[in-house]
Amino acid sequence: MAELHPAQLLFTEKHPLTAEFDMTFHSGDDHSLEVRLDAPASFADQDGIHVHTGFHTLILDTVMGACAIGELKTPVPIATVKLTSNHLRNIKVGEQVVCRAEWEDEAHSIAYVRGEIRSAEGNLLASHAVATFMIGTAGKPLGKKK
Amino acid sequence: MSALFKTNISGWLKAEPTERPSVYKTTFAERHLGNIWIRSLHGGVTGSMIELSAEAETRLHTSDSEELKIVSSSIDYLRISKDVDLFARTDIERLSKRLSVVNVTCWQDDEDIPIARGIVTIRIMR
Repeated sequence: MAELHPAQLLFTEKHPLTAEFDMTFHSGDDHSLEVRLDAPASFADQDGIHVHTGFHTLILDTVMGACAIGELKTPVPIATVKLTSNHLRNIKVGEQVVCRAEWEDEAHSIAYVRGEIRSAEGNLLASHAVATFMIGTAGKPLGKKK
Repeated sequence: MSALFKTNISGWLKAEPTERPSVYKTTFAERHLGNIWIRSLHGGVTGSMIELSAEAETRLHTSDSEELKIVSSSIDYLRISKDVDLFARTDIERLSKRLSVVNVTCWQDDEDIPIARGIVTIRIMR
Protein backbone atom coordinates (compact mmCIF):
# COMPACT_ATOMS: atom_id res chain seq x y z
CA MET A 1 0.00 0.00 0.00
CA ALA A 2 1.35 3.43 -0.94
CA GLU A 3 2.36 5.70 1.95
CA LEU A 4 -0.25 8.31 2.76
CA HIS A 5 0.57 11.96 2.24
CA PRO A 6 0.71 13.75 5.65
CA ALA A 7 -2.31 15.80 4.64
CA GLN A 8 -4.36 12.65 4.60
CA LEU A 9 -3.93 12.47 8.37
CA LEU A 10 -6.15 15.54 8.35
CA PHE A 11 -8.32 14.72 5.37
CA THR A 12 -9.31 11.22 6.48
CA GLU A 13 -12.51 9.58 5.31
CA LYS A 14 -14.07 11.12 8.42
CA HIS A 15 -13.39 14.64 7.15
CA PRO A 16 -16.60 16.02 5.63
CA LEU A 17 -14.83 17.42 2.58
CA THR A 18 -13.08 14.15 1.81
CA ALA A 19 -16.37 12.34 2.26
CA GLU A 20 -17.86 14.64 -0.36
CA PHE A 21 -15.06 14.51 -2.96
CA ASP A 22 -12.97 11.53 -3.91
CA MET A 23 -9.58 13.11 -3.23
CA THR A 24 -6.27 11.28 -3.22
CA PHE A 25 -3.11 13.28 -2.68
CA HIS A 26 -0.07 12.52 -4.85
CA SER A 27 3.14 14.30 -3.86
CA GLY A 28 5.94 14.92 -6.33
CA ASP A 29 9.71 15.06 -5.82
CA ASP A 30 9.65 18.78 -6.62
CA HIS A 31 7.81 19.89 -3.43
CA SER A 32 4.50 19.67 -5.24
CA LEU A 33 1.19 18.01 -4.52
CA GLU A 34 -1.51 16.99 -6.98
CA VAL A 35 -5.13 16.02 -6.60
CA ARG A 36 -7.18 14.72 -9.50
CA LEU A 37 -10.95 14.93 -9.18
CA ASP A 38 -14.18 15.31 -11.12
CA ALA A 39 -15.98 18.65 -10.85
CA PRO A 40 -19.08 17.84 -8.79
CA ALA A 41 -22.64 18.66 -9.83
CA SER A 42 -23.21 19.92 -6.29
CA PHE A 43 -21.24 23.05 -7.27
CA ALA A 44 -23.05 23.76 -10.54
CA ASP A 45 -23.54 27.40 -11.45
CA GLN A 46 -26.66 29.02 -12.95
CA ASP A 47 -26.19 27.47 -16.40
CA GLY A 48 -26.10 23.98 -14.89
CA ILE A 49 -23.21 23.17 -17.23
CA HIS A 50 -20.26 24.62 -15.36
CA VAL A 51 -19.24 24.67 -11.72
CA HIS A 52 -19.06 28.00 -9.91
CA THR A 53 -15.63 29.53 -9.28
CA GLY A 54 -16.34 28.95 -5.60
CA PHE A 55 -15.43 25.33 -6.28
CA HIS A 56 -12.05 26.43 -7.70
CA THR A 57 -11.41 28.48 -4.57
CA LEU A 58 -12.41 25.63 -2.25
CA ILE A 59 -10.16 23.09 -3.98
CA LEU A 60 -7.22 25.47 -4.30
CA ASP A 61 -7.34 26.26 -0.59
CA THR A 62 -7.57 22.55 0.24
CA VAL A 63 -4.71 21.35 -1.97
CA MET A 64 -2.42 24.31 -1.31
CA GLY A 65 -2.93 23.88 2.43
CA ALA A 66 -2.31 20.15 2.14
CA CYS A 67 0.90 20.86 0.21
CA ALA A 68 2.08 23.12 3.05
CA ILE A 69 1.33 20.46 5.66
CA GLY A 70 3.28 17.92 3.63
CA GLU A 71 6.41 20.08 3.66
CA LEU A 72 6.56 20.59 7.40
CA LYS A 73 9.13 18.60 9.36
CA THR A 74 6.49 17.94 11.99
CA PRO A 75 3.00 18.23 10.54
CA VAL A 76 0.88 20.63 12.59
CA PRO A 77 -2.46 22.31 11.89
CA ILE A 78 -2.30 25.37 9.67
CA ALA A 79 -4.70 28.17 8.80
CA THR A 80 -5.07 30.17 5.61
CA VAL A 81 -3.91 33.75 6.06
CA LYS A 82 -4.41 34.99 2.50
CA LEU A 83 -5.63 33.44 -0.73
CA THR A 84 -5.51 35.25 -4.06
CA SER A 85 -7.00 33.47 -7.08
CA ASN A 86 -7.43 34.29 -10.75
CA HIS A 87 -10.14 32.39 -12.59
CA LEU A 88 -9.47 32.06 -16.30
CA ARG A 89 -11.78 29.34 -17.54
CA ASN A 90 -14.97 27.72 -16.30
CA ILE A 91 -14.87 24.00 -15.52
CA LYS A 92 -17.69 21.78 -16.75
CA VAL A 93 -19.65 19.64 -14.31
CA GLY A 94 -18.15 16.14 -14.43
CA GLU A 95 -14.93 17.34 -16.08
CA GLN A 96 -11.82 15.79 -14.59
CA VAL A 97 -9.35 18.38 -13.39
CA VAL A 98 -5.97 18.38 -11.70
CA CYS A 99 -5.26 20.76 -8.86
CA ARG A 100 -1.52 21.14 -8.33
CA ALA A 101 0.15 23.03 -5.51
CA GLU A 102 3.81 23.93 -5.25
CA TRP A 103 5.61 24.79 -2.05
CA GLU A 104 7.68 27.97 -2.34
CA ASP A 105 9.14 28.69 1.09
CA GLU A 106 8.54 29.26 4.77
CA ALA A 107 9.52 32.28 6.82
CA HIS A 108 8.46 33.42 10.29
CA SER A 109 5.98 30.53 10.59
CA ILE A 110 4.25 31.54 7.36
CA ALA A 111 4.17 29.07 4.45
CA TYR A 112 4.10 30.35 0.86
CA VAL A 113 2.41 28.14 -1.74
CA ARG A 114 1.40 28.48 -5.40
CA GLY A 115 -1.45 26.55 -6.97
CA GLU A 116 -3.36 25.98 -10.17
CA ILE A 117 -6.23 24.00 -11.59
CA ARG A 118 -5.90 22.55 -15.09
CA SER A 119 -7.83 20.18 -17.28
CA ALA A 120 -6.87 16.54 -16.72
CA GLU A 121 -4.77 16.64 -19.91
CA GLY A 122 -2.91 19.61 -18.46
CA ASN A 123 -3.36 21.94 -21.41
CA LEU A 124 -6.17 24.23 -20.21
CA LEU A 125 -5.61 26.48 -17.22
CA ALA A 126 -8.78 27.12 -15.21
CA SER A 127 -7.38 29.01 -12.20
CA HIS A 128 -4.11 29.92 -10.59
CA ALA A 129 -3.49 31.17 -7.07
CA VAL A 130 -1.00 32.14 -4.40
CA ALA A 131 -1.63 31.55 -0.73
CA THR A 132 -0.02 32.05 2.65
CA PHE A 133 -0.69 29.83 5.64
CA MET A 134 0.05 30.31 9.34
CA ILE A 135 1.93 27.27 10.60
CA GLY A 136 0.92 25.90 13.96
CA THR A 137 -2.62 26.91 14.80
CA ALA A 138 -5.08 25.47 17.27
CA GLY A 139 -6.05 21.88 16.69
CA LYS A 140 -5.02 18.29 17.21
CA PRO A 141 -1.32 17.62 16.45
CA LEU A 142 -1.02 15.55 13.32
CA GLY A 143 1.83 13.34 14.50
CA LYS A 144 5.34 12.76 13.27
CA LYS A 145 6.10 12.71 9.56
CA LYS A 146 7.00 9.22 8.36
CA MET B 1 -34.43 36.39 -5.02
CA SER B 2 -31.59 36.15 -7.49
CA ALA B 3 -31.50 32.98 -9.59
CA LEU B 4 -28.00 32.56 -8.16
CA PHE B 5 -29.58 31.35 -4.92
CA LYS B 6 -31.41 28.55 -6.71
CA THR B 7 -28.18 26.99 -7.96
CA ASN B 8 -26.49 23.87 -6.68
CA ILE B 9 -23.56 25.79 -5.22
CA SER B 10 -25.91 27.99 -3.22
CA GLY B 11 -27.56 24.82 -1.95
CA TRP B 12 -24.17 23.37 -0.99
CA LEU B 13 -23.17 26.56 0.79
CA LYS B 14 -26.69 27.01 2.17
CA ALA B 15 -26.36 30.61 0.98
CA GLU B 16 -29.21 33.10 0.84
CA PRO B 17 -29.86 36.83 0.99
CA THR B 18 -30.92 38.35 4.32
CA GLU B 19 -33.49 41.04 5.06
CA ARG B 20 -30.65 43.56 5.23
CA PRO B 21 -29.66 45.02 1.87
CA SER B 22 -26.30 43.80 0.57
CA VAL B 23 -25.94 41.19 3.35
CA TYR B 24 -25.91 37.46 2.61
CA LYS B 25 -25.82 34.43 4.88
CA THR B 26 -24.61 30.87 4.78
CA THR B 27 -26.21 28.55 7.31
CA PHE B 28 -23.65 26.31 8.97
CA ALA B 29 -23.48 22.67 7.89
CA GLU B 30 -21.01 19.94 8.92
CA ARG B 31 -19.64 19.78 5.38
CA HIS B 32 -18.39 23.38 5.78
CA LEU B 33 -15.77 22.38 8.36
CA GLY B 34 -12.07 22.69 7.60
CA ASN B 35 -10.24 21.91 10.86
CA ILE B 36 -12.50 19.25 12.37
CA TRP B 37 -10.79 19.31 15.78
CA ILE B 38 -11.46 22.95 16.54
CA ARG B 39 -14.52 22.91 14.25
CA SER B 40 -13.58 25.96 12.20
CA LEU B 41 -14.99 26.72 8.76
CA HIS B 42 -12.94 25.65 5.75
CA GLY B 43 -11.15 28.67 4.30
CA GLY B 44 -12.44 27.67 0.89
CA VAL B 45 -16.03 27.79 2.13
CA THR B 46 -15.53 31.35 3.32
CA GLY B 47 -13.81 32.16 0.02
CA SER B 48 -16.65 30.65 -1.99
CA MET B 49 -19.20 32.63 -0.01
CA ILE B 50 -17.26 35.84 -0.61
CA GLU B 51 -17.26 35.21 -4.37
CA LEU B 52 -20.93 34.21 -4.45
CA SER B 53 -22.02 37.25 -2.42
CA ALA B 54 -20.04 39.62 -4.65
CA GLU B 55 -21.66 38.10 -7.71
CA ALA B 56 -25.15 38.29 -6.17
CA GLU B 57 -24.70 41.95 -5.29
CA THR B 58 -23.40 42.79 -8.77
CA ARG B 59 -26.38 40.97 -10.30
CA LEU B 60 -28.71 43.42 -8.53
CA HIS B 61 -27.10 46.25 -10.50
CA THR B 62 -26.91 44.57 -13.91
CA SER B 63 -29.46 43.23 -16.35
CA ASP B 64 -30.20 39.54 -16.80
CA SER B 65 -28.82 39.71 -20.35
CA GLU B 66 -25.39 40.58 -19.01
CA GLU B 67 -23.21 37.61 -18.17
CA LEU B 68 -21.05 37.84 -15.06
CA LYS B 69 -17.68 36.13 -14.82
CA ILE B 70 -15.68 36.14 -11.60
CA VAL B 71 -12.11 36.79 -12.71
CA SER B 72 -10.28 37.15 -9.42
CA SER B 73 -10.61 37.20 -5.67
CA SER B 74 -8.23 38.10 -2.90
CA ILE B 75 -9.19 37.01 0.59
CA ASP B 76 -7.64 37.88 3.96
CA TYR B 77 -8.48 35.56 6.82
CA LEU B 78 -8.56 37.72 9.92
CA ARG B 79 -9.61 35.37 12.71
CA ILE B 80 -10.29 31.71 13.40
CA SER B 81 -13.86 30.89 12.48
CA LYS B 82 -16.21 28.51 14.26
CA ASP B 83 -19.11 26.18 13.55
CA VAL B 84 -21.89 28.75 13.29
CA ASP B 85 -23.57 30.72 10.49
CA LEU B 86 -21.50 33.07 8.36
CA PHE B 87 -22.60 36.50 7.17
CA ALA B 88 -21.19 38.50 4.26
CA ARG B 89 -21.67 42.24 3.77
CA THR B 90 -20.96 43.49 0.27
CA ASP B 91 -19.99 46.92 -0.95
CA ILE B 92 -19.51 47.64 -4.62
CA GLU B 93 -16.39 49.75 -4.85
CA ARG B 94 -16.63 50.35 -8.59
CA LEU B 95 -19.17 49.35 -11.21
CA SER B 96 -18.28 50.19 -14.79
CA LYS B 97 -19.65 48.90 -18.08
CA ARG B 98 -17.19 46.03 -18.07
CA LEU B 99 -16.11 45.44 -14.50
CA SER B 100 -17.50 45.24 -11.00
CA VAL B 101 -15.14 45.42 -8.03
CA VAL B 102 -16.74 44.35 -4.77
CA ASN B 103 -15.49 44.46 -1.18
CA VAL B 104 -16.89 41.74 1.06
CA THR B 105 -16.63 41.52 4.85
CA CYS B 106 -17.53 38.30 6.69
CA TRP B 107 -18.43 37.78 10.33
CA GLN B 108 -20.13 35.20 12.49
CA ASP B 109 -21.35 36.28 15.97
CA ASP B 110 -20.45 39.94 15.89
CA GLU B 111 -20.40 42.20 12.85
CA ASP B 112 -17.73 44.32 14.52
CA ILE B 113 -15.40 41.30 14.73
CA PRO B 114 -14.91 40.20 11.10
CA ILE B 115 -13.34 36.83 10.43
CA ALA B 116 -12.45 37.50 6.78
CA ARG B 117 -12.55 40.13 4.11
CA GLY B 118 -12.17 39.90 0.39
CA ILE B 119 -12.15 41.84 -2.82
CA VAL B 120 -13.70 40.28 -5.90
CA THR B 121 -13.36 41.44 -9.50
CA ILE B 122 -16.16 40.47 -11.88
CA ARG B 123 -16.18 40.88 -15.65
CA ILE B 124 -19.51 42.04 -17.06
CA MET B 125 -20.11 40.60 -20.54
CA ARG B 126 -22.67 42.54 -22.57
